[in-house]
Amino acid sequence: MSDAPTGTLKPLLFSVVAALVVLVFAVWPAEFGYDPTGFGRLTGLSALSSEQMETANYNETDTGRIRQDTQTWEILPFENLEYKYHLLEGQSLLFDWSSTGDVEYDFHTDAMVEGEEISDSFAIETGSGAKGSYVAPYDGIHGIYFENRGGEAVTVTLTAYGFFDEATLFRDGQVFTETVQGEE
Amino acid sequence: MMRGAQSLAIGRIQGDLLTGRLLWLAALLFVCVALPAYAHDVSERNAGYIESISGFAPIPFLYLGAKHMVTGIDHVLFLVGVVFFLRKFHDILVYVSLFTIGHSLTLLAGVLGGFHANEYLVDAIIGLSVVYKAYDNIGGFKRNGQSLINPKWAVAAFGLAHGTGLATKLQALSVSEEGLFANMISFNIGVELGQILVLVFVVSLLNIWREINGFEAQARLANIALMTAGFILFGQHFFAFITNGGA
Repeated sequence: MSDAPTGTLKPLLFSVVAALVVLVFAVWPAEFGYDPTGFGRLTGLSALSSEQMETANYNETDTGRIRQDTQTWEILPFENLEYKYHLLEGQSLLFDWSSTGDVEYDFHTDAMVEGEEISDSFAIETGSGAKGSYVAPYDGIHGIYFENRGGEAVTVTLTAYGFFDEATLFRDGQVFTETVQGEE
Repeated sequence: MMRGAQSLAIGRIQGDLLTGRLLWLAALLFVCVALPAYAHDVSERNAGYIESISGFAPIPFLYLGAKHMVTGIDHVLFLVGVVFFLRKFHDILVYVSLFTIGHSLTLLAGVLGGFHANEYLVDAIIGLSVVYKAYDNIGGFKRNGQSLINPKWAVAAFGLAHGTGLATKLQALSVSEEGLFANMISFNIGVELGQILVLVFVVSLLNIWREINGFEAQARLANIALMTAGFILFGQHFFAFITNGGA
């Protein structure tokens, strides 16, 4: 085969070299997890090819036993109360509450994390019920604040399953912490 | 003379307007199709749907064919290379027809005959088709003013490779036997519709580009870039072929 026309071999070589650079430094680490230069790990490209677990909310805990707890309260107009479970980090809770009328509610935490008092809210809304699941992001007490802003008394019924041993009720400026008596 | 020049000028303006409108239309269609479906492989959700259907489903397969063409960077790059220096509509028609005959033949034969080619190897060859066309475009295959490889035959031959690639993609979806033939024809028509969509867009852009000063030099650079992209596609799929043990 005779020589290629002048001015076309250089681009061909350039293309091969450029493609090799892209392949070795980017495509290999990102697509195949093959990283001979270490560039992929350095830049985080290799992470693109790593096996990803399904991102379901799967949690395992090695503390506590599963318990059920049911509570019923009558909340008078302009009265409020707060009921929180003692959960360790990673412990989960299933909750289902309903009310005979609309209430303001706030699902939140109270905890000491690294010597600091913190409180995070996950839902601040108005409604007559809510249900769902929750995994404690850190050790502390986790639960719901209810406030009746209506003109009539409402009855709130809460059922919860989870890995708690204790729950605390805050009502009328008083604090009642008790061991949950529910079935194991 | 005056009248002639005037009507020429008017014709030119109308032509530009038409090109502009076509371009907008193509861009709009391209965005509509490409954005919601931005993935080369038929995405998992589509795959799940295809596995769940049996019987004749022309529109879904038509859509999948068009989607595969529009979002498949390898097919798009090859088409860009093929039409890069084609100015006449007749030439475009000839080359695109040859490509269409090539890929339709292997798509139909592959799916109907149950012929399974190695997916990675086919994709690697498709990458080489981009390299071939780009290198041809910068004059790499010219010897004494003659081309070493007949470009028309080359486009048809690489069309066979692209069709084999389309067939493996369709086969990978474990399509139900029922209504297979009609569904595959729908897929094929979809591929051609997608191809037309890509071509209208690419040819319109190239026509505008050619009017700009410095096109020659830019065209050379663009084809070198195209060639590089072809080598990257080749390298990626060839590496996959090696690491997957040719399975």
